[in-house]
Amino acid sequence: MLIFDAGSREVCQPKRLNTNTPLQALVLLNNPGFVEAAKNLATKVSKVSAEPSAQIVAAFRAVCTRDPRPAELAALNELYAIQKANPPQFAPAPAPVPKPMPAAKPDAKAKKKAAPAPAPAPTLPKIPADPALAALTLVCSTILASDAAVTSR
Amino acid sequence: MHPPKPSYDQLMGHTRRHFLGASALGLGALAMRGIVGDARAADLPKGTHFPAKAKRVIYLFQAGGPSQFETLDPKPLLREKHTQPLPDSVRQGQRLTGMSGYQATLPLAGSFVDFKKYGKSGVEYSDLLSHTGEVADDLCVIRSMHTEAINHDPAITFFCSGNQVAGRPSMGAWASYGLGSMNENLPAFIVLVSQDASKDQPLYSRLWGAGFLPSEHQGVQFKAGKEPVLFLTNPEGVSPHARRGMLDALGKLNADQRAAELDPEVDARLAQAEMAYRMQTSVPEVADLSKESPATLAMYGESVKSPGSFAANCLQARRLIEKGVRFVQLFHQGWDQHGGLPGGIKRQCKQTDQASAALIKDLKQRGLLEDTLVIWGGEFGRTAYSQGKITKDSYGRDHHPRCFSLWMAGAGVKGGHVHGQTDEFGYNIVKDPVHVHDLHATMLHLLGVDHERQTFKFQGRYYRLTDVAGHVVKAVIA
Repeated sequence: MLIFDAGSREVCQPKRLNTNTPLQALVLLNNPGFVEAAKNLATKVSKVSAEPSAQIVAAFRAVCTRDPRPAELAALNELYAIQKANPPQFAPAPAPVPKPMPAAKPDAKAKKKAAPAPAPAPTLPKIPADPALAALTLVCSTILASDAAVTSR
Repeated sequence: MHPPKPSYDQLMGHTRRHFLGASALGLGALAMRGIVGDARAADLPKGTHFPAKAKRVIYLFQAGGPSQFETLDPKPLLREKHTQPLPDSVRQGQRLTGMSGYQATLPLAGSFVDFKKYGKSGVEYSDLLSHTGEVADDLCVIRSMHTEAINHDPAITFFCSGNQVAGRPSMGAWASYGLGSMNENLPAFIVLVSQDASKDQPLYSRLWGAGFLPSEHQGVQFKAGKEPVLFLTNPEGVSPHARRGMLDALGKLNADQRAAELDPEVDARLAQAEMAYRMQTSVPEVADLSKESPATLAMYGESVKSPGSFAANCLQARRLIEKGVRFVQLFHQGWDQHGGLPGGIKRQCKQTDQASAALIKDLKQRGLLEDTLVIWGGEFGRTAYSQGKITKDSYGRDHHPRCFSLWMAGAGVKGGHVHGQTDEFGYNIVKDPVHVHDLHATMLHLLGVDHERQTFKFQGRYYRLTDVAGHVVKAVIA
């Protein structure tokens, strides 16, 4: 939530400031939580129908609470087709490892005590090896990062 | 059966809400065009009104309110009158904070530390700033700063955004909005917060927020270490090619959303996703301090090796501006010495003095100082009298907005120069006062921007960083 500039809740905040940084885009696309969510959403909607397009519509509805417009569906269908044609390749050892998501802020005293202990380096989140499910996962990840999913108006 | 009739709003395409929202930007864009138009006429870079002396800014913000008496403004009289009461004729009934206003007496406190003259210019710095003294001939010390706020949050908000109430765009956001980026692979405005500082007063991301400007101008905070940005690496199995495909699809989704919602923020979100993609390659490169020479590292001091220290951030700032980042703002907390000032300020200066000076030397040896503006200072000053108990060698100082000191350097600023003067008690300004708005106006002036012409229309009026005030301090410009 720090990356999304959420209020500290120490004081009342009548209005959230607009916030929009590249760091937020990285969270939406690469944070293990979001990658896992995309993976599970893909697994769930893959059981809805055998038809990829229907799976995509189901995923979009689940996240954005509305049907995709024609242009949106076309873009996602196209993405699915390209990704499925290029199945994921797993490198033996990815070079840099991201830091873990900071845990909920502990109180000042606990923080002082806990601070020196470094968190164990986590492994990168992994997308499924099955080409169809991998493609659907990336489609779901794209939906989760889209403005329609992120911004409430 | 008739199909449902389209609503009036759908027919009109624009809703009232979006019309008002969009026209603020639309008119802002028009104002921008005016600026760009000028630039074309005079063959000047985008956003500037006259030739710029500074292309970039590094702001070394010392949060908490550093005492001027132990750093930049020597007052021998206070040493002579140590523990004697502050004369009423000096205070003139001025308001004090609730923290020392209740005191029966206001005993004057002389600096525990000596001052020396440095360089050819002979400007005086305290012994706690001996490294800064080494670059005295490059620095311009302003001893006559004053501000309107007496407590931290309004004062730092005022300094960072030109207004005491949160919500206005920050200095760096204005620079990014007006002048744009010089490197499309990195944000135009980057913020680094010291991890080695004692965090007495909090910082908030709104201090580097975009306010009502399009939010891609918001400062981006880099974290300490080799991975200054979280989640920079794609999930396992996602190739750069696959990620590119996702972003293309995301672009189409957001373009459609933009057409449906007519909200310019959608554009900002897409721009940031694209920036994130480019940062996946640019950030690891710029954050890798391992290729810095041992001589350079030694210059910044021992603490440069601990990631996120003020020294490491100074070096990182130099690397960022080298890559074309427009505005880098460092924050170093811990300057709020209400009591036990000698010990506290010694620690603060030890953390910041050597690296600040090293940054100036480093920029100079790389030929960057001539078009980079560096500013060092806090949100207000401290009182000439002691808050709480005063002994022979310990005292505290309360907040003092009526006068304080900071230094600036580089980019057309007079080196080895002192601007402004306070009275011999260090309580009031006697010569050449410089208001925060004046400093902002001067900073923009050095960037080639007329602070009265860089505006953004919001809620029916034109806003500036300097609001309706501010005068360029010509006397500090060479």
